[in-house]
Amino acid sequence: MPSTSSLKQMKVAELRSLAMSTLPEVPSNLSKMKKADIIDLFQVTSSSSSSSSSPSADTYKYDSSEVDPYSDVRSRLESLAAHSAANPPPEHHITLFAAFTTYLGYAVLICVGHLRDFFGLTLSIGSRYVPATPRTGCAPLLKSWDNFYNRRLYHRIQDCFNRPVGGGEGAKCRMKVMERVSYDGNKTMTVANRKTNKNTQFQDGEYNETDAEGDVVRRCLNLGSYNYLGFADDWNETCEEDVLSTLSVAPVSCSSPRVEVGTHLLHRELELLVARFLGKDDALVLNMGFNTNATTIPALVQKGDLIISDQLNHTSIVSGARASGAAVRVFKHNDHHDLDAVLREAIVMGIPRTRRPWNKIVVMVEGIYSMEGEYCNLKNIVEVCKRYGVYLYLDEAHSIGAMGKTGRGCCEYTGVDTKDVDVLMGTFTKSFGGMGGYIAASQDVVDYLRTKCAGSIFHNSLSPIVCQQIITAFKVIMGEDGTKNGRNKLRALRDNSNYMRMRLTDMGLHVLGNYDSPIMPVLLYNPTKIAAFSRECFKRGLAVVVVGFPAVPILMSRARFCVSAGHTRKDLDDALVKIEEVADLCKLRYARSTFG
Amino acid sequence: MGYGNFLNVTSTTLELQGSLIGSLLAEKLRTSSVSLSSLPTSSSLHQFLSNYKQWWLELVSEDPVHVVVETVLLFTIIVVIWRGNGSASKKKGKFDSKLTHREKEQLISDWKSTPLTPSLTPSEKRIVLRNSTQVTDYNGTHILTTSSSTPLLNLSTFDFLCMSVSSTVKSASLETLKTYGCGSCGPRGFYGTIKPHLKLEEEFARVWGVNESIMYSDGASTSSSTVAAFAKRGDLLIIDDGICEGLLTGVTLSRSNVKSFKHNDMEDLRKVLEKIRKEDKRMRRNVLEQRRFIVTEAVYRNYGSILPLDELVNLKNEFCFRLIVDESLSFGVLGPNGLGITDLYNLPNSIEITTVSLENALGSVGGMTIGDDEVVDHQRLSGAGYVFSASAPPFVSSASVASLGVIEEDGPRMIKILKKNTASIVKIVNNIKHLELRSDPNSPIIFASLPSSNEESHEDQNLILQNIAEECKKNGVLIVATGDHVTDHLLVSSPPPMLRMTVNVMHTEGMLKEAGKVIESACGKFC
Repeated sequence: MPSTSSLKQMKVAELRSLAMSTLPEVPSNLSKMKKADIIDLFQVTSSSSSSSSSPSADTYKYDSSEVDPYSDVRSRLESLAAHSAANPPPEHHITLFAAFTTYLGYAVLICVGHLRDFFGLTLSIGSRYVPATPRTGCAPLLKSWDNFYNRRLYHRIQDCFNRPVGGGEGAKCRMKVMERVSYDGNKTMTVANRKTNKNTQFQDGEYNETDAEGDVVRRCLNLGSYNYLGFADDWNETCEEDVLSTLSVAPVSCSSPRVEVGTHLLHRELELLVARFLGKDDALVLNMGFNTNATTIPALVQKGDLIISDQLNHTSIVSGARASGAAVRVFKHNDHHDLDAVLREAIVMGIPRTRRPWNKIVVMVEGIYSMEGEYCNLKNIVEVCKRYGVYLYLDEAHSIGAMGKTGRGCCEYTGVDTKDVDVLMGTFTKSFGGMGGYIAASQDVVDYLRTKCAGSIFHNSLSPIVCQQIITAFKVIMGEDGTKNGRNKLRALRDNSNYMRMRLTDMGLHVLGNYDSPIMPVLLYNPTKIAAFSRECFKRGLAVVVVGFPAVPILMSRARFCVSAGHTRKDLDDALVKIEEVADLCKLRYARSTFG
Repeated sequence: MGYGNFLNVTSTTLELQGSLIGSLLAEKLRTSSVSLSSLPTSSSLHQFLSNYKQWWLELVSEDPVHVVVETVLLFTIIVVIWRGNGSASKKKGKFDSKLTHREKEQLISDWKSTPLTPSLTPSEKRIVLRNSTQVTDYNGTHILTTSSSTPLLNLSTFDFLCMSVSSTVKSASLETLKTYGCGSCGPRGFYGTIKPHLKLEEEFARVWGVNESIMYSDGASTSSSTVAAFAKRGDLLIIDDGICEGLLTGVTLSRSNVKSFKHNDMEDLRKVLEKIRKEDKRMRRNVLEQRRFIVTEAVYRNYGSILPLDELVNLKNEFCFRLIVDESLSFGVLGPNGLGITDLYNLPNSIEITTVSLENALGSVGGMTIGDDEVVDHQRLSGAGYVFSASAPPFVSSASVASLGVIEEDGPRMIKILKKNTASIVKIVNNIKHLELRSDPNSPIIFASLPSSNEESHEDQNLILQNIAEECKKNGVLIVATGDHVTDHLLVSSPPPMLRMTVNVMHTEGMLKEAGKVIESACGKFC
């Protein structure tokens, strides 16, 4: 661990700012303090956090028999990771130029949209933009803004989303994305096919080929799927045998809820495995990750309870909270000081109007925020929760399997005992290459949820085939398959992510999030750059995800790279060359210049 | 207008009104202006004021109405400003200043949370106990569990056509698994759309005769996401008070105005609709402003009744409503070809928005929403379960396509068997004097309760039925007593405790006869 030694070499000014931002209670006379004091202060925090939060060296170390693909940048990668573990992620301030052009871009889009609507309606030209004729006597099905946004903004760049994958590839790192064409200005997209001659507008490019069914596909490097541990890539070696043998003996679907006759032997096996993996009493496995949140939260909290939710929590948590009838307060993203303030106020004030005390308060946070690439400030949040005696609900949808030296998620990474988190939730869609979600908690809580949560009593249970996939993936991660596959996957994921993040940052892009997190969003700002970035990358054989309003704030449109253990260094190097090209083309180097 | 002008306005107009307080005030103002005039330095001001007064008096004599209106307005403004300020300052004082830091600390240290989950009730304990039994093998007709050594006759899954174990479906799954692997590793928008998903959407659209359909990765979230995608705050939803949890969650999430009608009672629905029409007229509401939906199920999961679609379609046309119908338990089950409720009533395309779970008759995983282009397209951006959830593994889509093919090919024959099996169970239930049939005689989900003459409490009835189900299980027949887990919901009342039996196409007459005997003897033992 080079943390302390490399930190000592850092500039004093940098250290000062580090200390300012790391320490929870910075003495107000900090500016008058001596240089040495500040360094001391900083070292106390950094050493205390690094001892528990940084992964132990041996898990990630390469044996003498193995080749470290990143040996040339190893020391820099490690020091950046250590630095990031001890500090909040860098904040990027949108430049005035970018903000102005972004607003301008939306203004132009909206004006032109209204103009086209006007002509469409009055002159009946451009008939595809005339809203569908409403049924007489009924209100239109879509309210004007929804409709307008879809028709005039989303449809323009529709080709950047929902790109289908074909050619016999799933979510693999090197996949084949199906080419689509539109004959009505992007309102509808059809798959380009050689056999049905739907591809009259389609011109072959460098990466194109035709698959067995005649569909035109493009060979792409996948930088968009949540295939963190690469189970989609080596599925045939790791999981195929188990899954196919289960398919021959178990039904595809149980067609019954868990509490009736939908509990298969494999469900229970998986539950016990999850509980053991996370060090909890028991677990409950449900059919869908989204619904795990959406149905568990209403079962846990009711009217008279309070949910304190991170500002950037996923929609599934928001849905669950809304369906529960409990009061909801929001605290600033990842800010435990604000959480403290919100909690104090909530406890002092009690339930609004009646002013009775709250029955219970549940704080809800995520392990890794999927749009920010940041992991949760768990240690401090746990501390605040303990101080006030409130419950903590942690959604590890993206972090389980992807973080920590043995893949046990955010708790392991931040050095928090899983016993200190009351409810652990996660999904199997990402790292495990399966489907569904789990809740791991104490025996009482899991038993109660079994009898009350709609996902358990009304919704049909997870397919036993998918259960087998997850069980096999777990065994690989835990090293119970007798190989080092799991360890190698975790190590490769971490190295790939950190390398990618380092290079993107070096490029002068505004990269969000922490080191050691496999998600790296890059800010694009302008609405036009959303499409430009995605299309230019696609042209160069890179499948990337771009996100715009309303999934993210209007100014903060971004591209999101998700790195996998299945990527090789060569993949990433090739991709980075192309990304650099596109970044120049789209003027994205905001860290270097105001004008990008 | 200058300040002096204002003074004049008040003084003159108040004189004009001649009210008591007004004249007092006016008196005061006049004396003030007099005292002003007595000052030597303000003689020019006095001149100015008196000129203005003259001007105003003329104005009043010319147009008194104008002055009166203006005065009233002025007073209103003053009153509004004064009251607004008053209440704001009150609020501030009420909360903030009263508690000292120490008091706050005291409150915080006094507050004690209730346990995260309450302790289990007896019926919940029963559920946990039952849930510890796991299925080890399943072949359509029989289920092997960890708690019994002999196979149990399956009268409890919703696998009406036994698709989840059919070889066609399995070989389709196998094929896709081999080519695409298992998970899709992403939401549909972000490279989670894989060829089999498109194939399934295409096939469903073709069967329904529409352009597009949309796939969700979970059956239950299909209905909740769909309802919430279209109905928003301010819209109106008329719900049947027997609909299942998925739809109810959607209704809750939509935050629309909700009215309910008696379960499957079209007369009551008419009453509700007429009341709304009257209200519209009385309040002069613009019906074109509010989206209005009737939300029902084709075969009700909690009651086994069948929706009278023909009457409902007439009603929704008459009153200008749109229909959202959940066909999760009717697709592959009703109608001569097994294509659901519209097939049964021969009313194709009469439902605006249909949701179907692929997890029941189709023996797969996921759900579909079918409607016109507008309906489907909108959900690709607004269906929460579609946008924010990873897509289903591609092999389940291939499995659904395969089962859809089987239904199209072999539907009529399977429906005949299903009908025959339904009739035998209905006959069995009707012959047991301790039970009363509660479901529609044509529904393959058969619900039976204790006779309505039974005066015991719901809890006691539930106990009896639970015991019957347990006894049947001991004797090799798996049926479900719903009283423990199908309980109250905020929006609708809970159904009475009932026994639920489902039939499928693989059941033979002999099996069902045997089951009848077991159920009858169990009922005899506990009733």
